[in-house]
Amino acid sequence: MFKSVLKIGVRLFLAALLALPIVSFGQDQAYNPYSGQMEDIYRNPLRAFLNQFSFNIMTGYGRTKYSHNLSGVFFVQDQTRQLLLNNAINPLPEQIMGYSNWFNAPVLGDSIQNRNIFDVPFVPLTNPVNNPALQGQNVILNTDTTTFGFESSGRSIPVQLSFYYSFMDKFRIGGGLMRERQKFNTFKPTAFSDRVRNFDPGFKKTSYLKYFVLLGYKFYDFWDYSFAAELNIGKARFGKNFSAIQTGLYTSFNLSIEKVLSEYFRVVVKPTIDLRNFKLNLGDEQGTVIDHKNRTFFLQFGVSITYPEIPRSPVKSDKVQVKHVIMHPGTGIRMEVRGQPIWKRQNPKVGENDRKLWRYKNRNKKKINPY
Amino acid sequence: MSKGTIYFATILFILLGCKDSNNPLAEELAAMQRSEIETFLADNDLEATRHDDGFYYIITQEDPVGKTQVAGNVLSVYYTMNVLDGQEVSFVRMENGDPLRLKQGASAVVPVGLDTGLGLMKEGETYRFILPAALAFGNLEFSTLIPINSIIDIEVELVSIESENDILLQEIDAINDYINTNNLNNLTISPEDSVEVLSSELRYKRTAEGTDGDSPANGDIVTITYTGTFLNDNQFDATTGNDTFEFSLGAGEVILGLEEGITQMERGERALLIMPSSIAYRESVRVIPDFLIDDMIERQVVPDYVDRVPPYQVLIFNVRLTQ
Repeated sequence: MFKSVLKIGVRLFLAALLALPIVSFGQDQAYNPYSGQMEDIYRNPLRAFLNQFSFNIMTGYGRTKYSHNLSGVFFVQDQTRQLLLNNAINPLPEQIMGYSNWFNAPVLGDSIQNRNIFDVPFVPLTNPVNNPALQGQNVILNTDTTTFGFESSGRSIPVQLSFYYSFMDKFRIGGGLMRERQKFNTFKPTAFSDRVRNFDPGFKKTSYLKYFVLLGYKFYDFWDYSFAAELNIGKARFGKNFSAIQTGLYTSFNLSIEKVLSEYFRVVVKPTIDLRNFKLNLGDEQGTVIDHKNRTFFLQFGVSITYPEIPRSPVKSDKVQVKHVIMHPGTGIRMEVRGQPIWKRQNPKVGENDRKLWRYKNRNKKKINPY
Repeated sequence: MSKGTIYFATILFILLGCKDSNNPLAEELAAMQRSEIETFLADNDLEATRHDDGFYYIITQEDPVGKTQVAGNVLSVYYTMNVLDGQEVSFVRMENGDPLRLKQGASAVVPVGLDTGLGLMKEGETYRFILPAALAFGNLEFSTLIPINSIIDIEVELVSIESENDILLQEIDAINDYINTNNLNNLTISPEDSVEVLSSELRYKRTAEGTDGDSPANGDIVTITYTGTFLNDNQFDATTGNDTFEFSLGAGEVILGLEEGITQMERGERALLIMPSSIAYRESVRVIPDFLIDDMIERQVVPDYVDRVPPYQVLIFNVRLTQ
């Protein structure tokens, strides 16, 4: 039921998203430099449609913090194993059966002998103080009587593709995909680090595929810079190392800082805070669930491109620098064309798009703009 | 100065500024505490000797003809412990009763600096030891009494030096007194058999016969229930309710006295096993002050049995061999 409602919702959203530029295009009467002759000028409808969207490609670097606060379980450690089991099983039996791999794919089967060989009536130690044998003794923690968990850090390389439709010059709505490759360290205990070893989930790398809806608001323009706040809400698909997990929606908050090079091309730097949770079911009779949290800070950079509604002039000898109307030499159709590549200012004033004087770079190095 | 140099210096300054002053490196802490101790000694006009291990000692009462200590002997001591230039932590003085027994030179004393220091003393002498944190309690913090990384100032009076054999003889006397006092050899009052003395000085007394005359052999897994008490009848350990204790006989898993006693028993039998410390927990560990035992166990400095059995204790196990 929920899935079908979700599917209908997604379809309606996409339909509305696609309809927005058509409605908007139909109402666009503002730009009309060739009043009276517009009906003669050909404009490719696909270009006009795509022009309503901005497409972004970004990559960067992220730092992730994994954490979970174990509750309702016993944490049991011997010299080689670290297990979890529900603390309703109390007192613990002599053979403790617990779950390993409780970060990503819990496995029942390992057992630890529940006896403290350093207590009565086991044999005493020779040279007992700081005896190295003491370091290997079992640790049993009831997480209801002590605050205990593990945390780890990871490094991510994200690659993000997204698009948005901009309306009222301020608001953005769109969606996208992000592929995140991640390496992480072993998990450190949040307490009792003198007794509890780091937890090693058995793998160091994973990946996530995230798809999201984007909502944004451009709140400030400063010269040729724009600043926008963006909210991404979506689902994350975890890598193959994970099983028995339930994922909810994830959220990320973005500040998009855009250097506007032209009306079609922007260079973007985007600090992002990404909040993601997942629940892992141990699979025991008690239905024990471990809540895991991922918090990632990304610093992404990339480009944002708005597809031009008109092409470059197909006439090689056409040296006109601004947008202008030509008659296509092949078809004879009157069409508007650009005089600049998309990454340069369109319709420049005199000298605005001059080539940089690289040869003076060294001489001018102390100037604010050495070119 | 170039911008790059300024940036580098700024980052370096920030990084150095971020160092946690509450957790200095061990070498820095040792140097800092050495300076602190020497300042204290100078301010109080005390003449102390620095031991190679890093602690200081002051001979407050000398006895050149006293018995010299050799590692492995059992010492009886009184002490008064303070945080350096601070409050009193604990003490055991003559007016409080018997001195504390401990084995010196066998890694069986906390603080470890005190263990080394006691090796310098002669019988009848009193020394004052000033122990830096690394040789005392490290970064342990005990309520407001012992702050983190405390320097410990402890004055010790060495009352007597004895060998472990002397201790064994005393324990045998105490065991015999216990047997007589409790009429364990009077079969009317205390059936089933009289007390048998085994070669290890274990006293074995059957209190209820077994069910099938079958004794366990080495390699058998035996199951017992037991109650453990000291000679003063205080209980230090027991199996509870339906719990049993299982172990492999002859595998060296449990204390010698218990293992030897079980080999004498038959299935279903009940017996009293009275054992001197030499076949039980011997020197155990003397933690001074004793209220730090739980912290020391939690930090895996000492084994858990230290919390149950102090040094040189005769143990009585009232055992039933169930299987």
